Amino acid sequence: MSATAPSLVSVSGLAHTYGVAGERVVALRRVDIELAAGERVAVMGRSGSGKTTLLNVLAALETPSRGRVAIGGHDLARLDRRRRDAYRRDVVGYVWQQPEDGLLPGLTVLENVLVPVIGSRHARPEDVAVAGRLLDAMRLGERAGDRPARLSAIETQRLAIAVALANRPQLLLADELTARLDWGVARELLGDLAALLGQLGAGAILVTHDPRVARYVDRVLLLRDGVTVPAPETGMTAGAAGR
Amino acid sequence: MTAGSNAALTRGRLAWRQATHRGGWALALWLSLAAAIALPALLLLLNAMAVESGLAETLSADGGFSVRQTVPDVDAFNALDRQVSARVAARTGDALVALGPTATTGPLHLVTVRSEQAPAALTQRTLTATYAAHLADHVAVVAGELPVEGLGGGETAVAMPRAGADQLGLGLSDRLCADFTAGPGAQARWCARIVGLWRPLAADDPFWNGEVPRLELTMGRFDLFELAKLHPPQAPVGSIRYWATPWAVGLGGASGLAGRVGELAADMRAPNRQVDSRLDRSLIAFTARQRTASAAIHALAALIAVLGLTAVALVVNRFLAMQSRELALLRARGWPRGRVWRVAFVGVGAVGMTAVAAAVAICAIAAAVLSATGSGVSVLSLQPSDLPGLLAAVAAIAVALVGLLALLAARAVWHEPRPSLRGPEGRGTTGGAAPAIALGAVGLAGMALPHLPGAAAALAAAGSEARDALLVAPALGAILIAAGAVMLRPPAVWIRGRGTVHGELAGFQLERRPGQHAGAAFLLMVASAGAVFAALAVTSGAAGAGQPGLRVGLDVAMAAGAIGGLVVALAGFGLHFRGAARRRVGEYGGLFAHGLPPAIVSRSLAAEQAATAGSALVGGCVLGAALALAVLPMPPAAAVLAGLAAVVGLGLCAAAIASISRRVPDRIDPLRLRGRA
Repeated sequence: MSATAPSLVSVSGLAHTYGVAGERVVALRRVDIELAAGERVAVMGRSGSGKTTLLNVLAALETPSRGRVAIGGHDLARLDRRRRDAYRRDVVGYVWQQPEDGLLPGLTVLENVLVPVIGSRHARPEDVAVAGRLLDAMRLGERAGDRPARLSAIETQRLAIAVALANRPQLLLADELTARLDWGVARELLGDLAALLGQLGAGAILVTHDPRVARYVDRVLLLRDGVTVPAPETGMTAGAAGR
Repeated sequence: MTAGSNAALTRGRLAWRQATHRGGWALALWLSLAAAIALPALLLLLNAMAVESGLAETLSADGGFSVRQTVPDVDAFNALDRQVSARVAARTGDALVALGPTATTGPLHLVTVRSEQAPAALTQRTLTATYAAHLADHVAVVAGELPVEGLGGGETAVAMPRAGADQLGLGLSDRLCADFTAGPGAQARWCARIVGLWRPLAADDPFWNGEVPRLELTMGRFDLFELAKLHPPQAPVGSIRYWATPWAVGLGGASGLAGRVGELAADMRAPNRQVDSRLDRSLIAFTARQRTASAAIHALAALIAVLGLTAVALVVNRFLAMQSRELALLRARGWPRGRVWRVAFVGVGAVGMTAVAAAVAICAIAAAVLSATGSGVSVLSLQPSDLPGLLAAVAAIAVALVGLLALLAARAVWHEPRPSLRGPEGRGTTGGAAPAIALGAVGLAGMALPHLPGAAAALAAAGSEARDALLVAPALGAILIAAGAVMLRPPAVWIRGRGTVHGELAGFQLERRPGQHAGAAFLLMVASAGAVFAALAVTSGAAGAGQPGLRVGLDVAMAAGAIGGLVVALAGFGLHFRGAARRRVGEYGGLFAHGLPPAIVSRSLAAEQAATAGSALVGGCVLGAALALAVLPMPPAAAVLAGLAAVVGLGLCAAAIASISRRVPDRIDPLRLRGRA
């Protein structure tokens, strides 16, 4: 990544708590992240370290309790409902830990990719073409007319990625992309994803347990008890990842 | 990408797919919407058909109004016609249709036929000479022609019924003569020639006043009064006749017309004049019976309408709850709230549109079948004036349904999406004692409204629409009381088997979330109230005797409403507890692996169902009986017995529910449902 690339994500002093059964849970204590446009980062940490909560905050699904979170020029603590909708729609794409959570079972594979598009406007023929290219890039071109229930685990994960990238977001947020996959198909998936992100010029924050994912990102951040800890850069690029 | 898969997705298509890809629930939604519209609409349609058929029966039997008076000459006859016509028009407008004036004289004893002495058999017969205006409109000429008015000449041209001519052995062109005593000591002979033979177009034509004449010579007006100059034994009698038809009267005008006809009869009476009519008394009696029958049907229709709305609310709530993740996903993907609401609303609304078409078809088929069976109730008796009220009622139900769907869809998308995309679990309706008591008090006032001092006078003075609205007040009161009772009802008290594991588990569930079965309980309570009320209405003779149309209409409407309501309620009850069973299995699923017998959970859920059903059915029976007392004439002993029979029937129904309740959870496989619960 170039040192002069504009900042895509700027998180400083982020803390977040939420309530469960009347109890307050401190999920994030102090998180600092700087991410340049097009940069890809893996966030690693133990279970309960706050990784998923961090993604939820960055996806504007939760409002940060404290600290500054700016992504693509949007201050997430100050978004009203309309701007939050626009942010979710145009700036970030989200892949849930259970990839089927991000899909509509009543629609075909292709129609699922078009769902984010028609949230703001009517679908045009070129949108269908773009969605088709996304599916081709995710090796799902032949499954465009199938329902998600007929897809395998890896295909479901690929579709979830295609849906998340349908609106050409600046930032992809993915939660445990490879947790349900054996490393052989996971490696293939990560390679395809890196290539696609490179084509789109999108950045990514991948939450993962798997240290092997680090080979497919530019940097690794460690999250320990809700606090980010710097980690050495991986030095891997999309091109390198593909090899 | 494969060819053929590149059709662009639209929001409308997305809404339709969302609404229909869960086929079973879409069907449940469709059925509940169709029933919610069809049942009350059918009841109101049956009411209109029964009332109009009853009115037609009443008018067919007693719809005549005639004024008879001796008229010495044609001028007096014409004067009587003008006078009566003017007063009838002034009093009744166009409600009474003129059948045309008639004049008769006679009797005529034939002395010669075809210029020969009349046979003895013929001379013993007497004929009547008649002039009837508009005769040509009511007969078919089978030979010759009808006499031309006022032609005069040497011999009078007459026509007669073919049946009478055949009976007397007379034929076309026969010349007939009769002798009269033309004044003191003078004999006069009157001769006529038969120029036409006719038969009536319809024997039940009010024109004949119940009996088609046979031995009658019909002639022109002036010829009849020329004949009268020969002083037949009976001086000419003029009769000015009217008939009230359903089309001219209309249901709304029946009550008012009865009073006006009474006034007209009093106005027309004179020493030498006879006024013949039972119309006013018949209309008054019919109106009283019709109001009682309509009040019963309207009350049941109101119960069924609310029942249908509740069933739709339960199904749509569950339907949208199953889509909650998907709707939250759209919000999480940045779809504006209003757009997600439209997806939810348009989906269920599109299903609803097809349900409306089905409801209309159900009503049309039911009305056609009833009309075709010769039950006395016919869709053909409906008047154009019935349609606005029917359409307004159906439109009101449709608007209520649309509003309900819109509200439930808004509630489903109102909250910001949770990161897990899981919707909050509903707790069911709960309420404290104060709102429940307030509802009950308002409900009691509604039920007592028709019996408050001055209510009868207000009802009599009110227009038909206002009267209809007032007559459903007791039903609305019953609904409020049912709502209050569901809120107040301590369901845990009804649990049987306390002290056992499953009984304690059921009690714990009902105490933890006391309102979770409130919707299902309300459905059963209203349906059972409707069933008891319908049984009492049928057996109490609300439609009165001598009105087959009204009676059949009331019976069919009550049966359709009671059965339809119970079916909807039982279906809603079953769907609710099916969902509850899934939730329970999910809730206790982990414990099954640790040795909790699934039968314990089944029995505890069955105990909840039995408690809910039992309390709702008992409450509903009491409410139905109270509603019958408020709306119907005091039931005789037979009605009380029928009510008791209905209570026993509903008790059996409760036993059936309890039996089903025990079996249904057993059929649910915990291993298959854990993930979906």
